[in-house]
Amino acid sequence: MSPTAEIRLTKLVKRFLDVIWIVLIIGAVAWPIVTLVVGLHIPQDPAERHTDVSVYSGFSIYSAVTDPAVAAGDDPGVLVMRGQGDVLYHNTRGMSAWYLSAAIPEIMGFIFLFGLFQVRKLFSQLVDGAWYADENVPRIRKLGWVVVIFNLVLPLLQYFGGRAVLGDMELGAAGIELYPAFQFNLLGLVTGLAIIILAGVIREAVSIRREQALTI
Amino acid sequence: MAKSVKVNLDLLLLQRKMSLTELSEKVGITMANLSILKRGKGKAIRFSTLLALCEALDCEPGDLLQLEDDEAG
Repeated sequence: MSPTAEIRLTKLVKRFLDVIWIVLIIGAVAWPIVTLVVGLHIPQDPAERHTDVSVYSGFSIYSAVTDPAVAAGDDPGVLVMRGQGDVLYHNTRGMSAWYLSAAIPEIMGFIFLFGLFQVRKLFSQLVDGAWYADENVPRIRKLGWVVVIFNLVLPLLQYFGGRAVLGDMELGAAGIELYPAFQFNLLGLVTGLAIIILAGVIREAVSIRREQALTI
Repeated sequence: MAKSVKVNLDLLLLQRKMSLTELSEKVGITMANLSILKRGKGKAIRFSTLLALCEALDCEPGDLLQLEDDEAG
């Protein structure tokens, strides 16, 4: 890729990051407000309460679901289906579930925003041609830590948050088992660590560049 | 004791009765870079630069570069 094309691509990516930044900032501010407003309008009577709650969880479905004879007993029957993912529950009981399930993406959103802030600052330097600015090294290192922390906090929030949400909703039926679950992204974690190491490489590059600038 | 390399640009310019501006024009190195050399802030000097300076000042590399003890050392 030619230097001119690289500069154009850098500017394009910077503009895209700026747009994403604005959208996410608006989302981060609006999300808790909307959550609170909707939450305050949830009817107190559980029979009238109909909220959709999305939480990362696991489910197992047994033959008791379709076989009344099995459902009548204690044994749930044969395992028919199992899975895990972002499940949307029609909640008619839990009050806290609504707030808890909204809090998880908000917390992850803040971590992501901090990382995006570092990337935007980095690209501001790149657009100005300051590829080897001293400030780039700590920014890249912080970005690496954000990726590491994101991939450590997310599974914890998914599991413990999910457990709290499911406990609050008290959903259950014969033959259906719901349980907290989590995704552990090992590749994401290692990527974060690799970025931290790359920050050290960039630090050396900055040092070499500084020395080169003072080589007459 | 720690040593460093001193660039005797000031002394040679005085001896050759040449200004920094004239030297800059002769060797094709900017005043800013020559100033870095003169003040001892340079990290390294290229052979091509050393050759150009020696030709312009009619001297040997040993006349231009000198080993000296660091004051702080």
